[in-house]
Amino acid sequence: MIKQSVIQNVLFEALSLGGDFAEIFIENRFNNSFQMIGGKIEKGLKGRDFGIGVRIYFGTNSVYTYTNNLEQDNLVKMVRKAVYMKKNNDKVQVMPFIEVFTKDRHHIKNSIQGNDFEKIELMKKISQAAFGYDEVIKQVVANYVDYKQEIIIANSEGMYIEDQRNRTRLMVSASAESKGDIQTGSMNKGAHQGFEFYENVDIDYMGKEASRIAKTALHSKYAPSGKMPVVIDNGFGGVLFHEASGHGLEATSVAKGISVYSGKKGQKIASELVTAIDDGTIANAWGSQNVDDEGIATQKNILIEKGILKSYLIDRLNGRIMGEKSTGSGRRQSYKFAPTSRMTNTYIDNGESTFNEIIEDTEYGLYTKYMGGGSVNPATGEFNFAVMEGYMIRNGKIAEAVRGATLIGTGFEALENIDKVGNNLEHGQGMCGSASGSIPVNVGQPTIRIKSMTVGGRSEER
Amino acid sequence: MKLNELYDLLNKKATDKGFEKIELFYQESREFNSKVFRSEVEKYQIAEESGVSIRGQYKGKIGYFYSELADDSIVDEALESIIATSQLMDVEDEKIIGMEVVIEDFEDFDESLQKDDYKSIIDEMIKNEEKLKKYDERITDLPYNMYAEMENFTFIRNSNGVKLSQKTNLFYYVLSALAKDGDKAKTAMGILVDRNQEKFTGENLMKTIAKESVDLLSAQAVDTGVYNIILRNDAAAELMDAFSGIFSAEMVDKNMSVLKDKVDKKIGNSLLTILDNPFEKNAHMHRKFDDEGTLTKEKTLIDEGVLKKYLHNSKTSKKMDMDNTGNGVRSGIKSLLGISHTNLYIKPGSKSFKDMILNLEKGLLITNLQALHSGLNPISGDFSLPAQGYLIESGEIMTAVDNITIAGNVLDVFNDIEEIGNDLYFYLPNGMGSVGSPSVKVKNINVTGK
Repeated sequence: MIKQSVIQNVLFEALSLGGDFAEIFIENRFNNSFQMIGGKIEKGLKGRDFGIGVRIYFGTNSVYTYTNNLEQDNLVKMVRKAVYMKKNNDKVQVMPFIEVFTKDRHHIKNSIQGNDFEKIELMKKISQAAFGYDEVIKQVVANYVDYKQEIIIANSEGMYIEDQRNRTRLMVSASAESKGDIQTGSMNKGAHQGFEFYENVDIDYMGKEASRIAKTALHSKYAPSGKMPVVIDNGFGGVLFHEASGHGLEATSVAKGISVYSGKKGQKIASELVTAIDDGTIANAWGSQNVDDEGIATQKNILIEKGILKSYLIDRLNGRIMGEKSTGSGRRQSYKFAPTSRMTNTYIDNGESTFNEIIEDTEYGLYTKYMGGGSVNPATGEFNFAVMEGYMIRNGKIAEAVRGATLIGTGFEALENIDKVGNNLEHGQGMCGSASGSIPVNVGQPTIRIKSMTVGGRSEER
Repeated sequence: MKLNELYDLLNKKATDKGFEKIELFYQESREFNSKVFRSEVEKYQIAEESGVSIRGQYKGKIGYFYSELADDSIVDEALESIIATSQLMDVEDEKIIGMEVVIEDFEDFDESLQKDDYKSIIDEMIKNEEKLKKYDERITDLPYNMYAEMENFTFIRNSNGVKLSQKTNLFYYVLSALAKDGDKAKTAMGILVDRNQEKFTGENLMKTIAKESVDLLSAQAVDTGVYNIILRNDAAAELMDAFSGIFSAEMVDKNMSVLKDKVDKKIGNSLLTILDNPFEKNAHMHRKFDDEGTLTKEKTLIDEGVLKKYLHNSKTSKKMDMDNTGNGVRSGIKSLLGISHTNLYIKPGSKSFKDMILNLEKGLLITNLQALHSGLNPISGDFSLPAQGYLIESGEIMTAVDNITIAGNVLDVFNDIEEIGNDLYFYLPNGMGSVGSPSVKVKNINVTGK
């Protein structure tokens, strides 16, 4: 893609303008995506992302620039524009590159660049399963995406890495309609893997499950509002931890001192039942990669152990500010973003309760089988989440389905109030949007119970 | 020009391979983006990007390919990819169309943003930090103090005679205040969008967010119940923005809009008129033609409560046998032909915001809505959104309100609008268009509180 001597010259230019560290990230990415609506392929797109990002450190400050034009003259021009406070430095040294060979944990059998017909077949199968579930299913949308991302990361300390990421994901969304009421349900699966990933995915189940969720919500009554115990099921339910606490543990906000978790290392920040982990090394997991986007090997980070805050998620620049080492957490959507600390595969670890024990132990409350999306205000820790599929729990039994529930609270409060942790850990796939763009992440947890949480619903009845 | 040479090569090779039609869509942008935090320049980013999207018709079917590597070397890969993907398509509604009239190249551009020196802006951002904290000692930080400036250039040429280009620019400034009192922390945020550099100032934003963030510290939830509310213009515009997709004919055709089968039906109060106007002067983006080369025009979507039309591109207009409204839009090289509003807004009424408050006996003023991307459903029209604002009693703004959720259906809101203000406000454009609203009074909204 680019000569090593050009990279050396760009890094040299960056340091001679006063930078004390410089890094480049080059990306050549091949994308495929298809969309099937109502059983018909309506959209298909292939394309190529291509460009370079240059980041330059000045102590604990940095500047960033990116372009698609990899000519040396243009790169030098962009670097000069980006360095707004120039300090001439005569004693510049860019270390000679030493190529780092990373261990590839993600065996890829079948290239995802392969046969488009197989991808279409997959979508047909999932659409048919969803439509076939029940006659109330009036619309099904299936989406398939995959990409191969070739990267080069090099820096002024002599690091030079080439690596490749392969990701594939299948999504289905079903709409049920009856008497003017329309409700939707969705499912998705993805991995850092080749097309063989789908050999072990139950496509039929995914389609039917999306339809079942949609049908269940039809004509269900609105959720009650108020404080109550909430049981959140395993898998994508982990999005609550991801949003409510995970973002607050990222050095991006910790280093600034604006996270509610700043300065709390070693302190109890959650119920002692909670052990939370961010692990970028899980073989073929959706949020995994061999190295982070700053070239540092990903690792398994224990964030919270039995309620005690053990580690933050740290990238290189915020590590400088905090005086700590990177935890292999520097990530970015593409060369168009400077990297910052982000999550990979984040989950609450298994506890001891069984699913049945947790439900039976709950007199009254809300059971959320599937969570929808949500958001959090990092400065205050306040979050809110939509519940995609929810039920009331009455007398230790799952009772009627309810719709329109939202979960409202703060990360602190929610973690402290976890009083049951199940033994059925599962992971779900999502895209996480934040300062360095939208990146693939796993969220996960066993079934958990939060003993008291605000449910925003629309009904005053209990 | 380089682009015309690339087009000529593409056209020649496409013809040789048996393509019926071919189109080159090129976009180029420049961006400056900076964030200040605690007197330090936390982000300083200069970027340029460019890329092509190639659309071709082969054996009657349309295919696309895009690339950020935009030179002669990608032409063969592009044409092969288009042949492969186009033949997989099950639908043949899309066509590459021509132009009704020849249009000059269009500019919606302010030269005042044309510079590479951002020192004065950075200085003002740093000063604003100090100024905002002086409003109240409980304001401890500005989590967002961000300035961005962008310039876009689009070039479209196809074998049906379309040849045009468009150049736009604007800046926006986002400020947020963090107020703290003991364990309590609250934020309030404001956005300024403009094209004229002289309009860059944080003064008005600061006044509003300083008051709101501090007021929220003592805010309480109100009792659960049914309330008359005033959605302040910015909150109303954000709600409209989140629901803007319901006007798209594509969404209607796919059974994904609550407005399906409602044309010529009364769906709202007679006070309500909603327009889509590419030339609206208060909005931040203007365009003369859409991304298919169709002339854009002003349209009334809801006329005194009656739904008149959806937004169309050539594909949906043909399929549904309705007028092409010139809303065929592509959000970038990676996007296929879609539909977007230009400047979609609720037509302002005559009441001032002050009078609207004075006229409200008891109710809520909503100043901020959250979860706009997860808490609403464009298919059913249902929404359930955490909200903040103020309690109003006897026409007076009383205490601040927080930790409440407002819920309803967008069609009920259209029906239950009782008053429309004269304070039209346009929300941050999304690159294709923007959404605006004046403050609106809506009766009988379900509010969940304590």
